[in-house]
Amino acid sequence: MWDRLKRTKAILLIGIGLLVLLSPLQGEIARLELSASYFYPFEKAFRNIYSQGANYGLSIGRPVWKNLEFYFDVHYYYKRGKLTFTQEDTRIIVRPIGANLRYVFLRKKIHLYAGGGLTYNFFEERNPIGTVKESKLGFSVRTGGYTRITGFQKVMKEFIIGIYISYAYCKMKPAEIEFNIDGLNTGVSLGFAF
Amino acid sequence: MKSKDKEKGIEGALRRSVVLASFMLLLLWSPAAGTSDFSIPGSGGYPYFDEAGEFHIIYIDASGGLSLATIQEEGRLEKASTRQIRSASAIQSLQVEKDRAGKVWLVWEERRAARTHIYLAQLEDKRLVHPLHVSRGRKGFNLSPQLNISSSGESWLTWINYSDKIYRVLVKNLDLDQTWVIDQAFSANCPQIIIDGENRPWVFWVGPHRNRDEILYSRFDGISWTSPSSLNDRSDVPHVTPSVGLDFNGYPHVVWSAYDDHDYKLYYSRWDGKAWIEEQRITDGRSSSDLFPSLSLLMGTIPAVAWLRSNQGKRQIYVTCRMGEEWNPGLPVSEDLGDATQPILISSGGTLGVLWQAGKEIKSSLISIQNLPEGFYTEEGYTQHVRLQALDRDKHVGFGDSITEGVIEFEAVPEKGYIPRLEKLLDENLVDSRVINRGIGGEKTAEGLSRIDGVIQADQAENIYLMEGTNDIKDMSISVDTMAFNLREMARKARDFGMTIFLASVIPQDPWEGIIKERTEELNTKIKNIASSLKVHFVDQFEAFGGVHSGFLLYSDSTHPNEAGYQLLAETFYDAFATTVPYIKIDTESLLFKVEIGEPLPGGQTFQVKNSGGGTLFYQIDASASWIVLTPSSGTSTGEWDDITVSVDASNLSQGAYQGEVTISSDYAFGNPQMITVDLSISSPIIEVDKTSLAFEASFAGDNPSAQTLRIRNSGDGMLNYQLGSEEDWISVSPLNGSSTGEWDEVQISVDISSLLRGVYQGEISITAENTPNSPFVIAVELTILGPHIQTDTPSFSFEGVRGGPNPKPQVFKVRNAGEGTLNYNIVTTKTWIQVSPASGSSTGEWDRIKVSVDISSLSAGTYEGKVRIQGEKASNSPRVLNVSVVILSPTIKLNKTSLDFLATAGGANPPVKLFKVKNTGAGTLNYQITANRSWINITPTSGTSTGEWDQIQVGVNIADLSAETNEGEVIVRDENASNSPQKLKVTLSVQLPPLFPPSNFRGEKIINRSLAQQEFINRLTWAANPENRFILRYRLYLIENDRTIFLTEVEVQTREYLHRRVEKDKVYRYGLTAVDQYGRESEPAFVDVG
Repeated sequence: MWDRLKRTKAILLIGIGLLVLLSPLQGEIARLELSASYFYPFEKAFRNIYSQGANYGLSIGRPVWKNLEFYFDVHYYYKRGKLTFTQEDTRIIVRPIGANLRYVFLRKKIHLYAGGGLTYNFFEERNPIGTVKESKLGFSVRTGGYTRITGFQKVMKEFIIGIYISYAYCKMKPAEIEFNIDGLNTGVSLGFAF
Repeated sequence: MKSKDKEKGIEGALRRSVVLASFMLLLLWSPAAGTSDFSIPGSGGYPYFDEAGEFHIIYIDASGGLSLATIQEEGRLEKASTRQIRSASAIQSLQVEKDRAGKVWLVWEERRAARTHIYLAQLEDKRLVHPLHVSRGRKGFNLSPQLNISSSGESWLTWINYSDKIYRVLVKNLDLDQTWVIDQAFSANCPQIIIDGENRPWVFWVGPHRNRDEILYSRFDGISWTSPSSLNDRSDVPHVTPSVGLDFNGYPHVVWSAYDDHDYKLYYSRWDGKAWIEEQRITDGRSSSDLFPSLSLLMGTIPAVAWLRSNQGKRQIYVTCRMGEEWNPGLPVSEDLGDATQPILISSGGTLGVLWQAGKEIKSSLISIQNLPEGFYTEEGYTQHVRLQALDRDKHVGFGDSITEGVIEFEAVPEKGYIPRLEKLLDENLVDSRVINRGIGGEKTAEGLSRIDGVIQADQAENIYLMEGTNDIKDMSISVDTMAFNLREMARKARDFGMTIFLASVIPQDPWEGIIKERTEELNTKIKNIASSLKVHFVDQFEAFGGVHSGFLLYSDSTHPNEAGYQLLAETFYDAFATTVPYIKIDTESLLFKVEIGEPLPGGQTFQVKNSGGGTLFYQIDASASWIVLTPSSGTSTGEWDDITVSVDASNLSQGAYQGEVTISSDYAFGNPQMITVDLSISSPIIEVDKTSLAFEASFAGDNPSAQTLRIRNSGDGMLNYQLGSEEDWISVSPLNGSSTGEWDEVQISVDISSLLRGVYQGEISITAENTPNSPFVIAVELTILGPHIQTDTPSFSFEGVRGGPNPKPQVFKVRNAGEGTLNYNIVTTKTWIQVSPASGSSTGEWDRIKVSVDISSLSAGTYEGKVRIQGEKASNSPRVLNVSVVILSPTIKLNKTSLDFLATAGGANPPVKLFKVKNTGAGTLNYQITANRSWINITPTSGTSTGEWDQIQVGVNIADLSAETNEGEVIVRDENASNSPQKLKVTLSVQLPPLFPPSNFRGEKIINRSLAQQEFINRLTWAANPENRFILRYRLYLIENDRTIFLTEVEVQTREYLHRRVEKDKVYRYGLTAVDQYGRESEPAFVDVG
């Protein structure tokens, strides 16, 4: 029942994203970005067991009203660590799916924006103690800037490169330990508009 | 016809209802008082109620006339007024009958000369009017008249006529003056007549219809009388004394007395219009006789019966009636009566009037029916009479009536009767006896029959004198056959009990004529036949009394003897008893036996014993001496001679004369005891000699001494055949046997010294003869032989030396002649290593010194024996031998221990050395060598010498190549010169495994092992190796839960840690850790708790 509810939440979130993305709100094109960031978890145990690591993401967005954009993003975080006493291998996979809004408050050569949205986090950990999976709703805020590079009309409308910093929050307790997978991502993004 | 019967039935029912209602009212109004008793001097009374309900009795008064008594009520007291209605005459068998008009009629018999007549008269105004001789023309005896008047006023009379020894039952219609003889037989009595509702007369009487007396009846059908028929069922026992009544239906009822195989009981039957109902027994089975019933029907409805009950000599009048279909148990209406006659019962309304005779008085009682007991009788079992023990032979019982009791002039004087007289005769002539008086005055045989069971059971006597019947003879209601039956039953019961019965005939009584005489003679004939058929003793008292009533010579009154008569009775009984007592008779008074010892025993001699008296002689024969042998020692005789063999057993007797007695005894016999003297004479020969000892003397190796003469003869009886002999070879006897009848025989006795040495010899000559009391006779013989005799001061010598050492020091002994003459001797030795000096000599009594020495140079260790022989010419004890022994000593190995035990641990160091000691306990020097038979044994030193001191030897072991086991070996000490070489010392080496200890420092802690999302708890266990352990290969870890040990893991010896993962956070775990060595042993565990 709970799994069905969680699946419904994810589908609903994806559905909202797709609806927004595909809705004919304006004639501006959508953009698709790939991002790579350095994730610094705030949870000490997270850091002790898995330390910091790379976080990869994919987002697709489109303007929805004036400087307000909606974007839908997916991230993938995979890390290996050691159990605290036995030092045996342990692995973690976090896959957040987010539906966000951002506001572009400077539109010069450099575009600056700030935004945030809801994330739905798929968590999985495997080690000799056991395997746990959990899906939990969280949120994230993000700010950054990007610049558009045009001249590639045959291929795309414009090329987008940017940097950002974001904070994600999601508290969960899949087993006997409650923890937070919040942390700070500092990364770059490459994308294009079409 | 049928409607007429139906009307009769309705009338009958109505009449019964009225009668019953009247009866019930009568019961309610009857006085509460029970019985009212009256007593009048007189006899033969008969009662009646008059129309006013007053009770009257007509009776024979003291003068012999008839009187009338009327019972009057005065308050609660009743008195009788009497009036004589006929002057004195020999009246008996009176009966009173009322007719329908209330007139009172009397009928009776009067005895005149040798006949009796029947008279009838009416009682009018208390006077008898118009007496009528109704038996006129009937010769003989007219007896027992019974009158009955029908409702129509027709009078019928029945009686018994006896003449020419024939009894006839006669019936006469007094109105028609017509008489019928309805039966005639050799016996008939007790006629009763009743006229039924159809005005038909019925006559009942007692007669022997089939076998015994039965209740017979005949009915007049208007023209003739029916053939006599039997009313009762059984025909093998007497049925007697019927009494009849008529119910309101006009049907007759009958009650009678009959024997039931134990005693007499009452039976009842009635005519139901077509037949007689099945007879009913109406009195119980206790040991009493119920006799002479009188029947009356209360209100014509309820049968009531009065009767005489005789119980062990106690007589009482009883009354009973039938309530519904059951008879009540009966009410005694009198005390013990002693002398009583049959009762007469009449009724008026609900009151019964009973009249009976008690001694010289007439007694009567009025009884309200209310006072009869309720319930009904039940048949009770009879007591089985059994003999409790052997009957007392010295006890006698006299059983009978007043003649047994002892009555003189009608007064009871038992002390003058025959009983004490018989006892005196028995005491004086036989043995001390007791005769018990069991006589009851006035008793009839039917009563005696019920009484005898109790008497024989109580007295347990051997002998009974049975004499009864005198009272029955006078009572014409009892036939002679029934009397005889009763006597036979009494005798049978006593016989079945094992008693000796003396059945006596009855003695004559006055008047000794007519029917009394004939009945007496007939009864006595039957008594004699009974005695014969039952095989009991018949005692003819009748014959003893001469067969007539002899008046004052033997009688005190008409019936009872005087003292002379009783003495005659006693003597007659005694004579009869005496014929049953045995008498011991023998045919000799002495016996003589002669026995000669050695000769066969004489054969037995016979004498004879017989019973020359009566009965059976049971005798016992005893001898006063054990040498008298009797065959047989007991026996019985009923008159024949019995042979008794007497023999003697002289086997244990010596010569001489003996005397004994044979006693023949029987406690209950005349001539007890009888004695026979037995004499025994035993004879034999006797050995006699002229001397009892002989002495001879001779020189050793010289000539035999001269023979000596011994004289022998027989100084006893017969021929003495003797033999002589001696167990000694040197004694000779000649001749070796002989015989003598008194003359002297000579016997030569010689001795042979050729094989004898110097000394004194004792011997014996025995003279033996068979059957001679002083055989064997012994003669002592002594022989003395003289000569030289070697004597030494010592019998032996002992020397001791060491092997290889010097010879022992020589020893000296002395020799001399201890006998007669000169002893010339020489001395030799049996071994070369023995030397003597000098080797010969002579002595006439003085001691000579002889030196003895030994040479041990050639002898090895050990003990040696030899002899010195002293040989003397003509010395009787030559050679004299002296023993010589030499002991050669040698070294001897002695070890202070027999074994050494070592203990070592595998892998450890060799155990410390151990010591033992060696020394020489023998002679000289011990040179020894020590070796071991195992390589792991080390010895230091391996050789040495000892002359007696201890040498210490070290023994070590090397465990290097030994496994953990027990090893055994030997240390061997040798010296070829030692007497006990080699000696061995057992060495045992036990190599043991090292001890095994638990691991050290076994600790535990609970540790968290986690990832980001998960965690587990781990019990971390650590330990250290125990430094004391050796050869540890691995460790085993156990989890201990709830007293259960769970194996967790086994780790190699290098491992010092174990992680028990996924344990519970808050649970305390207990672990055990053991060490396992290379031998597979596992140490005790170390424990740790982790929480």
